[in-house]
Amino acid sequence: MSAFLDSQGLATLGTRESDPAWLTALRQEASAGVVESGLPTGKTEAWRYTSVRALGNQSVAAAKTTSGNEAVAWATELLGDDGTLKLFLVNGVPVGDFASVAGLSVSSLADTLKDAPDTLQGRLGKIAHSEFFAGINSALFEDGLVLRVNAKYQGLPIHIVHVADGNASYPRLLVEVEPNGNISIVETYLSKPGQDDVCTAVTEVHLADGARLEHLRVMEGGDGSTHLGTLGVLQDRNSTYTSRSVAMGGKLSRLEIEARMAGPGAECNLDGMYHAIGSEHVAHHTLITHADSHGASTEEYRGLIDDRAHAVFDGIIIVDQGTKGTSAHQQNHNLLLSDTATVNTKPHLEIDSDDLSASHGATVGSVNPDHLFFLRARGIDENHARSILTFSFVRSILDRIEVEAVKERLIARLLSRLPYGDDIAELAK
Amino acid sequence: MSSTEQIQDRLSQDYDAGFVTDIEQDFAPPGLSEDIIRFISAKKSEPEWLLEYRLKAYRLWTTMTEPKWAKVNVAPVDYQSISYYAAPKEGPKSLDEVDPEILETFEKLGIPLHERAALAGVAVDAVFDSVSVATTFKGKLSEMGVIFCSFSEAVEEHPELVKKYLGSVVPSTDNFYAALNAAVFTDGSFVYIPKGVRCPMELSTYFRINAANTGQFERTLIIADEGSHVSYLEGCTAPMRDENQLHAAVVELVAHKDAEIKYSTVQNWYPGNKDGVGGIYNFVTKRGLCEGDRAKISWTQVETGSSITWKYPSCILKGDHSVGEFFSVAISNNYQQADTGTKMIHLGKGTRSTIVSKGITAGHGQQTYRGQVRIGKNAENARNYTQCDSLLLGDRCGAHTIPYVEVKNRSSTLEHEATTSKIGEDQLFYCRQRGLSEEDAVNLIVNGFCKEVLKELPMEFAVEAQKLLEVSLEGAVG
Amino acid sequence: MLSIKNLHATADGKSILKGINLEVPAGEVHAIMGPNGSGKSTLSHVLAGRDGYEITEGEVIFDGESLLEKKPEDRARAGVFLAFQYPVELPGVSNVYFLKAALNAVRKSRGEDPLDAMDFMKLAREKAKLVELDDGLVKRAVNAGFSGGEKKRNEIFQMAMLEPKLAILDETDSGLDIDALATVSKGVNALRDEARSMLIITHYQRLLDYIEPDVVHVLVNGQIARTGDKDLAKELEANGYAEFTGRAVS
Repeated sequence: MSAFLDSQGLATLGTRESDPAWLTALRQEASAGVVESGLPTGKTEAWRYTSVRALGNQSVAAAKTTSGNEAVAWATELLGDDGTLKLFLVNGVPVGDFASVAGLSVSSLADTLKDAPDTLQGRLGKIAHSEFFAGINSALFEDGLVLRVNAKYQGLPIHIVHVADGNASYPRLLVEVEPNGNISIVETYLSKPGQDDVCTAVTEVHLADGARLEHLRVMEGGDGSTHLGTLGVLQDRNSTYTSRSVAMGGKLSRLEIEARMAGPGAECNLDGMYHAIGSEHVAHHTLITHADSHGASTEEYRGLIDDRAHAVFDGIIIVDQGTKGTSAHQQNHNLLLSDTATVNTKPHLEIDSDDLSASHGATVGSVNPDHLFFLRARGIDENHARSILTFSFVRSILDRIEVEAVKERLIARLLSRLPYGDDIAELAK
Repeated sequence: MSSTEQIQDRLSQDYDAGFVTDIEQDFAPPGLSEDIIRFISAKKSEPEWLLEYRLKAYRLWTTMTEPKWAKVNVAPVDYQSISYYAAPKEGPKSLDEVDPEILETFEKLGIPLHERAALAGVAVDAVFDSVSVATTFKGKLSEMGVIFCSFSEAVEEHPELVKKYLGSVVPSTDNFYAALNAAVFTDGSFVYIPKGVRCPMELSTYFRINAANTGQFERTLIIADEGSHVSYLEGCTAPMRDENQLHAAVVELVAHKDAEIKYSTVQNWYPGNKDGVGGIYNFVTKRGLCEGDRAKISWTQVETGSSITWKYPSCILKGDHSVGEFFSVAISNNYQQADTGTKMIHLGKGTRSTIVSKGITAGHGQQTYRGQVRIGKNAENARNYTQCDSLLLGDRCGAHTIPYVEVKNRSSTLEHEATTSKIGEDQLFYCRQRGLSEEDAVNLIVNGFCKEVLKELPMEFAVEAQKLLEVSLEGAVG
Repeated sequence: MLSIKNLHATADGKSILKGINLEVPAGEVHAIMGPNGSGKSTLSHVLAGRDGYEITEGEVIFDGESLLEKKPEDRARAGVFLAFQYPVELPGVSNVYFLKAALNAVRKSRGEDPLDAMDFMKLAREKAKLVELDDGLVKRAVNAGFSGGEKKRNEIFQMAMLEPKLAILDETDSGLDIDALATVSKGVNALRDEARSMLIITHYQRLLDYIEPDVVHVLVNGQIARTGDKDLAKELEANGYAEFTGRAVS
């Protein structure tokens, strides 16, 4: 079994005879890059606070499942009926058939590569970067999903459910929203309990002129799970992208978002909520590039860090030279709930244009004693008061989730992870 | 003329302090080796331990590489072409003996030694290139037990203090430039304020790089013993040269229990010409240690010069309830690059820090605020407030804000706010409608933007800082 | 004092002023009323020289000189004062400092010596009383954190200090309650003078109850549609602008 960064392992696994030439070149470039750079260390700026040393000996071989049905049944029960059109991937491989709906085309990545590889060229592997783990995914992915949505689609929100069932998986997703298309997509990353798995996921999103996407991405790993996600977004003129990242669970959960506002008048909103307990490590790295004029971006991440957990927020906003009328505002707020929790926050602006308004803000603190006192003075005991204030600190982010049943499930999950959370469930109603 | 052109025009004025003083110098041959270090040490008749300190730092330095993380483009520095020692040949014993041309140079810079010392009550320890040329008010200060002298003098007369504190805050292992400085520093200022003494006047040093191809590696060490108080002013100017010159200074501050050190800098090193040719590389390590409980260290800086600035005046808040402050105005115009900010390391309980950084970028200027706030596990109830604002004048400049925040204590509170904006057209129009010229309107708005920092400067410096910012301040009124 | 002849102006290629003719003799107070979008604020901006407008035709003579070629500050120095509808905030710049700089710039252009700090403060205190602006506000940063009423009073205070020949009041009544309106108007009335003309731009008649105009003009679609005396304002208050616009606009 080859280890994560064994060059031989990457090279052999990264070659597939059925690949079109452009993909072979892409995979070779990605694996060569990864072999050369090695695993990131604390000396790599983006990995200063997240150690992946433990992954050095992990196997790269994707877990094989003969049938994903059992995993699908498990996930279906966990998620319940949430009023979405669900698509399942087990270890990155689609399970089941996809119904065809007006305005929406869903196909497996492997099939598309076989049948119509040209439709993927110039997008697949070109929107997201291919450094480190994204590169490993690029070298190794075998299957995944391709979603195309056009302006005719008026159906249900799509819920893409990823289940990790085994050691390693490389889910790959390409979403194309065509001009003026409008859709809500939920991606939930789950892992079967009781396993030490590494999920290295890449999602690429292209929004054509006037397209709109609300994209909720949930990291909900088990105690032994590592999630290394990369999300690349390319926005054309007047498109609106809204990302909501929710991280609740997983030994290590890390998401890199890179949104490029390539056309004028684009809007990009990145929100996030994280709750880290035990010795969980959760990291969000976001990069918004205002490459054209009249773009508006907002970003708000709110986090709760308890026990010995460690949270990282690293948000970069770049405003390119020559752009006009940019608005870029970023916020990160953290609540430390224990004496052994750690947070690193690095809001970061790189501005090369003078026609803009930009700001960022970050706070770290504990539950406000005045607020605590106020609740206690109204007769609520301290533990419950603390729990209420903790919950309220992040709920505004969850409240923005469009898909009602998904929102309710995530709120319930947060409450179940909070001390005295069940007692204050009324509040969430 | 459009407002942008007007602003460009206003900012393209020449460097006033760019003149060369023509006096004979005593040079070390260019290049760096153990022999050169022995030469410097021997020139200064230093004790053996200091030579050893230098050699150790030098050997370490040879194994180090220049830091690459700053957002600046640095042309490679040839460390072997720099002369590491330059002193005026005539060693003056008192102010009267100071070369009149040197005094004239200071006059041109607006620091008439006699007048300033007498009228403003400022003691000036002027460093001309590497050797202290004049120290005033020493007598009066020594009556109170205050030691204020050149670093060389301190080595001779107070070796025990120098030995105890040198490198205690910025060890020579700290970084490439700190190691280089420890190996070759030639002079600088030394201040010791004894227990309970409130230094009766502002202490001031003017640094000036004059000789071509000499780096300046001064060393400043300020110790405020328990319950003492001192305000120290540092000003810098360098003449116009086509080559880049290197300035790698180290400043160490130690504040004991209940002591307070206020360190103010007005930095106007030659920034290079309009096309970015020449100018000073200002790679400086400044750090203060709040050693005792309730100690306070405050850095205030107005940075208008240097072609490249790499500088992060920092505070280590070790004592409980100690306080660190950083107030900064930085202007980057033409092709100037600045990567500057601060570090606040909270170790003690109830420690507090405030950071207010105002960056103004124009022309092709590039500016980065890089700050670190670290709140350690034991820093209960620590507080930090950070505000960084950038003002952009023109569309070819860049402003970057990179704060690093690490918090390991939940009872602490940290707040960071940053904004980036340009001067508003409506603000300019409003001022002009009231009869102000566009130039004055820009000055007025820039001045307002920087006010929170400027008010932190001691009076003696405020005037100069305002002159440098080309704005006049209120105060004549009310 | 002010003579506007066939003034046409566009903004972003859109025609806004379409041939305005207006004569304001010295010492007179003229009101310009009109519905939203009729060009009232554009007129005030064009007179004060704000960027963003193109004058396509016509001329403006102020005090015997052509105004339109002049920079905004030169117009101000020549005696044109615009009380802004939305006064601008200048963080960190104190009101007194700002005004002293402005006043001395104006005085210099008139060939007068700058006022020293003492004389300036004496004058400022005296004029501040006119609009009941307290000392605290006088010393604070220009308009920063001022309430709407305070900002408008500050505008009139500045006008009192700068003693213009022509004062243009752009919707000075907007956002003011009755008490604030009375205070501001009292200040304006105190500044009425034989040598000073005023142009009062407003949507509503109520300001004109306090500041009685000599002449009222109705501005509609970039042109003066009618001119009358103060009764015209009352008529407009009663009937609205429908008669001029062909639709019901209050």
